[in-house]
Amino acid sequence: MAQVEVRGLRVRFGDVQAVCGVDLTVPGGTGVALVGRNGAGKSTTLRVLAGAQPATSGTVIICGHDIEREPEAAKARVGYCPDVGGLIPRATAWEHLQLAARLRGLPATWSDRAAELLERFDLAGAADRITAGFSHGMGRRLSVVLAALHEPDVLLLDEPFDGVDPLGVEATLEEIGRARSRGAAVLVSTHLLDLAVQACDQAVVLRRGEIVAAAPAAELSGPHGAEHYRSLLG
Amino acid sequence: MPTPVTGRGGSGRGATTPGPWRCAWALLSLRWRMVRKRRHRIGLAVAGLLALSLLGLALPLSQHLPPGADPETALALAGAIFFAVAAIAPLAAGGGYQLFPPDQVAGLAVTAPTMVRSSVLLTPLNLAWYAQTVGLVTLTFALHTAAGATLALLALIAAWVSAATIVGQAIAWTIAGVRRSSRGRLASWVLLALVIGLVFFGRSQLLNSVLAGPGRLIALTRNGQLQPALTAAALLTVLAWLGIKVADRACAWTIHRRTLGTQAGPTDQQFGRRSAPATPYRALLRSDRASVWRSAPLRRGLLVLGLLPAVAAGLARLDWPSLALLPAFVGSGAALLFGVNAFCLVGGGAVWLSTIPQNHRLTLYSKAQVMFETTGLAVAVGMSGGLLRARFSPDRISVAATLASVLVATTLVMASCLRLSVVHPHRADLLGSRDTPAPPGAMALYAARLTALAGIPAAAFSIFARLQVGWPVLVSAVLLLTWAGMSIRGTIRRWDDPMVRANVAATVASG
Repeated sequence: MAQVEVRGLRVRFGDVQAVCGVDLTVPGGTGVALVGRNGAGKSTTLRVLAGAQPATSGTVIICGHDIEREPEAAKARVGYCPDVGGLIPRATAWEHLQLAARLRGLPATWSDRAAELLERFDLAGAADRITAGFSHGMGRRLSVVLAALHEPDVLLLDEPFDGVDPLGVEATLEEIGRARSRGAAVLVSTHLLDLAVQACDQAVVLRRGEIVAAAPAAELSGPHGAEHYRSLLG
Repeated sequence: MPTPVTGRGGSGRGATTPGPWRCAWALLSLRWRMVRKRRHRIGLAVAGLLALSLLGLALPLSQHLPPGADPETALALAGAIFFAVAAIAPLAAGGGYQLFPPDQVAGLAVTAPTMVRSSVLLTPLNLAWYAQTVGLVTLTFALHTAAGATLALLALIAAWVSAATIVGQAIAWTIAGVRRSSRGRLASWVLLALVIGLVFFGRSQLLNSVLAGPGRLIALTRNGQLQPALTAAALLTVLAWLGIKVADRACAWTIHRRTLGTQAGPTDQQFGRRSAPATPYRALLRSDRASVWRSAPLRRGLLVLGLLPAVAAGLARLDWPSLALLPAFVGSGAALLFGVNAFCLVGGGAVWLSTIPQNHRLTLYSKAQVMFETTGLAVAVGMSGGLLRARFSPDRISVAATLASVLVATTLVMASCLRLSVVHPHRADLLGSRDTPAPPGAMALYAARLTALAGIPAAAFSIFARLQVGWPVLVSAVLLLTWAGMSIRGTIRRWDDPMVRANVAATVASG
């Protein structure tokens, strides 16, 4: 059974059709990169998969749970890093982790996992500072940590590399690799094609809310891949 | 915070920097254009016309003051209160009101003089300032009964109001700058303690005479004589011009002293770890409480809203029936700090939080509880001054009316704020010391709505206490609390809709 199954997904905001009939199947252990221009529908698709945005029509099944009918069960299997913000301004990094652990009902060992993630993402020294004082890159790294804390079956990362330093990028790629190796489905939305190719084995190109191409990520690497990608953007 | 630029000069090859008034006007126009919905624009326009009409009613009202009223003393007191409001209200907003959060206009290099002028232009949206202006105009016309000098008097009032407002802003910016250092903060606390001491240890006469000084200037032009009024107006205009120059410098100085960019408060401060909360609800509650008490504008606002009415009520030595009015004004003011857009407490974290499996109602209940706690605290502090120095000992009906007013005002305000938070969310993170939970126009409408909602029942309770009738207090309290309960229930049902929750999360987390 695929971890993520999307059928005929449509999302409309007033007169704007953000997603128009997306079909997607992501088996466990697979990494899929969602790429495309601004406004292509990548973030909206991930928001629907995370349960943050109801779909106008279509079906989204997460690990066998319909996100509309069983939102709690589906959300429990997902870890999500939003594209903007994603953090409570006046809560510390540790308080974010504590809140997530309590709301998700994680066992007491969560703090060991949290400490380890903070160390790997070079945030241990800033764990007790409020996130309003974080740089953009630090905020992105903490969002990835929060998404990965409970070792979800579906990891959704929206622009996780945006403004992140090379060490942070390395830590994020490592976490994506670990998630895939334990059988999680990973979806990454990014504008950084090289990193998308490194992180994922499949790539899906979106244009104006529709999937215009789906291929092995390696096909988008190198000068020829980049040229092909540009032609798909239209 | 935008880079402060105090001098004149070109901003590029061949470019001429427009004056600060033009820049402020351009920002104001942009803010107006950002009111996208036609019905919102109409609402704001109607509210503006209504406000002007009420000001126009001051002339006929002045002819119907209660017998035995002494307009000269009242005018001096009104002038003093106006001046206090003009200086303290922008101080609560971190020095001055802002049209846009700093990060939204960072690329526009908004200068300190532009910030001062846009703050001055926004002042009429402050309900306390507006109410004092209406009172001042009414009392001035009551005092000057001679015919033929109406225009001169109007010019005088306009000059007085402008000068007091601008000087108030200069003072507020200066105090905001002084408070950027630990010594300055200490000095401001000592000054506050001194004022409270003067009030509560029987030296309020001294404070009264100091504050009432500016108000007496208007009284100089009694009997509506033309020449003294015009001379005073001219002098006040000069004072306003000087005031704005001082405010420009004070604002630039204050911004220069901010070493943490747009952040207000110690963002690099380490907070100790506490044990994990026992339940998910307590975890949410702890997070929301921290969001309130770690925010500079919220802490400062709650302090001002609590202490200012306490000091004023102490100075005025209100009787018990009048005390029943206080909770409405303090409660609605406290709710304006964050309650009208309660989900801004989680700011950018709203979308992430919405993806965590939990009972979605808990997030709403947590906001409601924090709102109830903070509003209740501000009301309790605000009432304390009046209770300690109230004239006459209380009777049972007055105590019941005051208690009913506290409970009804706090609950009605909370019910209305919950509804506004769910139906009209705004993007606001309340990080800067001048940040507000909604844009200026919306804040003005919310202020009017909440003041009317809590003020009318409070006025009724006050009248019942004065007439010494007990049963209407109980009946109206029960009816109003039931109404508030129904409103809260309706809001909870609305919150159950996933589309509504998604809209709230996306809006408060945007940017």
